Amino acid sequence: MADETPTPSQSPAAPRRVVLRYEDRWEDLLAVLERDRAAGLAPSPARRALHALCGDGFTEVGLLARAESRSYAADDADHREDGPITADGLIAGWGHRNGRLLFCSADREDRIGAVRSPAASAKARRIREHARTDAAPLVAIRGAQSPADGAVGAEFLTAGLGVDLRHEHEAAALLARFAVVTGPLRGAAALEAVGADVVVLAGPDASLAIGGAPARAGAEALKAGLADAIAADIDGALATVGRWLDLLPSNPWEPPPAPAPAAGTAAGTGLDAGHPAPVLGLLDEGTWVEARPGWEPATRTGLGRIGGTVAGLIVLDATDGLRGAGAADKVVRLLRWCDALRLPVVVVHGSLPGPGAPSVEAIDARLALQRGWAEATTTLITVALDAAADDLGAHLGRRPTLTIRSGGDAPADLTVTAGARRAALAAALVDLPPERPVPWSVPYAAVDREANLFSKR
Amino acid sequence: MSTDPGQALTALLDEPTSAGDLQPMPIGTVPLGRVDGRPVSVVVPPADAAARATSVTAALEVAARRRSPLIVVDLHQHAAGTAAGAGSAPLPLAVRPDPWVPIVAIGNDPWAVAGADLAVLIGTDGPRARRAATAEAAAELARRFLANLGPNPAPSAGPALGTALTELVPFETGAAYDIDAVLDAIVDAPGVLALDDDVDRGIRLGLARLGGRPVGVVASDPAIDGGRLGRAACRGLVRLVELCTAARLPLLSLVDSAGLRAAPTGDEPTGDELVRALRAMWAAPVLKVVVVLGRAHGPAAALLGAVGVRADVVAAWPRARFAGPDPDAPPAGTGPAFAAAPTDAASVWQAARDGALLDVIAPAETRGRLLEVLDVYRGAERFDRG
Repeated sequence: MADETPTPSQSPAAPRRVVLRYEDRWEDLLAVLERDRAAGLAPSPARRALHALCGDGFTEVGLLARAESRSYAADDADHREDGPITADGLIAGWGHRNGRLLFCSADREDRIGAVRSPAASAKARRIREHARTDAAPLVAIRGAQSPADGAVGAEFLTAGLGVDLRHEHEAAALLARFAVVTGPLRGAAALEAVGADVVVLAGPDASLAIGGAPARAGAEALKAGLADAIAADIDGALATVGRWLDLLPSNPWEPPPAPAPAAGTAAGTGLDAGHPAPVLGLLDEGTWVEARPGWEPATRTGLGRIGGTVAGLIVLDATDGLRGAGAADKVVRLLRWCDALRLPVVVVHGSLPGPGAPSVEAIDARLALQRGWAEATTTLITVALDAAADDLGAHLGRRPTLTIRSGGDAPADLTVTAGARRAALAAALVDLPPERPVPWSVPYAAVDREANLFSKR
Repeated sequence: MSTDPGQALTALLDEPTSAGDLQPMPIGTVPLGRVDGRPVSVVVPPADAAARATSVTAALEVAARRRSPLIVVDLHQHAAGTAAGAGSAPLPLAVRPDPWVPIVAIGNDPWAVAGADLAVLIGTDGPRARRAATAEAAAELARRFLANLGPNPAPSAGPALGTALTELVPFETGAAYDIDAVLDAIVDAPGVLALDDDVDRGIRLGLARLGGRPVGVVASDPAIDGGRLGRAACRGLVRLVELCTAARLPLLSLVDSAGLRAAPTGDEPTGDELVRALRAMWAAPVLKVVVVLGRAHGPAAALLGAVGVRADVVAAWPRARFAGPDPDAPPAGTGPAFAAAPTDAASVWQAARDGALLDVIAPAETRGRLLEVLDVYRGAERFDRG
């Protein structure tokens, strides 16, 4: 603390002068730091939820950010005294869950619906950049709007949306990205959210408005294919994220997490809510997570474990499973994602519909399917449910890695009884793992495929 | 005058084949011909559904090895009014060869030609395809397509339309006009070769020559729903960007769009489609030259390269106006940092002040400036800037 006692050389009549001893100045500065940190760490449900998600510890960064304060001058001696210390409305950092590194950011509750400040945007981008550099999963809890929405200035015209898109593009198919929506998002913020691999709406205020479409919330957002799940609150949403995280690898070079020691590999009994009927008995109990469940419900896609091995699952409806443009998009979306993260894909199907009337949507759907199926380099296993089921490989113009059937005339690599199907599939997944690239090699090849671009020229 | 696809092949090749002798070829047989002196591979798939796919897959492999364009001539006659999908086994044309070679498919069945870079239907309509009344017209479309992908500049014939652009486009921002005439007044004669006839989608996608140099062309059509883009437009845009990337063509984008199509048109793009199209536009390692003719609003402006996407050159006419994602909506938030920021449409002058534009140009200067840009950026497409 400051020492205002006159020095021996000063006479009592001389003016008083503040003298800071070296150790006292440190104490003073550190006390201010602690005070500011404490202010930045004000209790917040989002912060508590992130700490809960990262069960092994969460390290927060940028606690002292406050671009909203009255002074912007970093070298202003009084800068620290201006405005409340709030981490500038964005909680950001990293942590570990089951020993695995995660990067997280969350808009604080009082910023829901507001525009992110430049400092908050910079913090979010920095965390996203760290996630991409370290190829670790990214969880973004988003309730505030993008600055690009509020201005038609230079940032929007030249950079705003482009910068966020660039970050999204570079991270796509390289790491698992989660978006938890807590507020009404539109414009660039909504686009950024739906660009994530898994989107969860948390709470009654969460909605997404893309382009000129009205805001969609809850079941409506699920039906429009904007989200993968809805949750009552942020805790429920992060519990859903946790279920996905327990199945997904961090990046293309690392294997998925091993099953929890307590979890068995017994066949599912159908007790899971929403378990698709055709895969009953194929998946391990309690391991099914579904992607975009309300969108094109005749086609179901998701992840699960089969004999402990994580695989993507595509369940095609016999009548309409491949015909609609939305259904094709849904299939290709999971196919490309699993391909990028080197997860095997199991397609469960019966009889397949003909190509139908040649509309723009039908032709786009067929082309997307052909393309996605042909370009996938991961393990592709088809499981024909009955003897009358078609040959999916012939249907899409390329043979899969393995075809499992239970009779019929169509070509099969493995013919098993219905009862032995699960064991055969589990063994095949062990015997035919997708090839994993050398770490950090060609990291964006999958992104080029995602963007339907040719990288080899 | 004939509607026989075989006749189209005869008309297309430099040394005509006998259409009467044209038969489905055994799998793996891929004759070599020439179109305007350029070697092309030809395949005529058999009728059997399984053999058709195998035949085309084998031909794609051979054409890629030869690095020659592949001409697919489908003799299967798709009877009008046939039950949906009957007899139509889609060919695996969407599975792109490596290295890439252009694919032209000519036939009567929309499913059989779908997926080709240029799909030509003789005597019938179909999505993602050009309709040709006769076999000879189909051959001419194919010839123009291949010529526009040619690696070498051709002598410039001057613009297809001599009318001044200020006579074609009203002064008022938001007014409708004929985008085809505008294109004809900018690119070389004979104008833009559209890749499909789906003009009601509000977007033009095609190939053209500018000063003799081949370019891909995308233009929103302000006469249809204000140039708003829907899901079909997004998907079509991705296909064009992909074609330009593969063929190393610069992309010319003319922008006058009021945004995205909204519900309940049924054509509103999904979030995934938007993200995919934006990523494709952003990542395409080709020269992107953008001219904003009028409105550049929201994600549609980004999709067409006017804002936010890494376009190489952005110029605008004085009537251009820029706006955020939803100019009619109330301000998004109350953050003090942006309390004073404008939320309405911004004029081209503000965009120029912000440094977002290369230049503001007069309509009459458009063609000249584009030729200059193509000349300055001559080597740009040689480098992978993705």
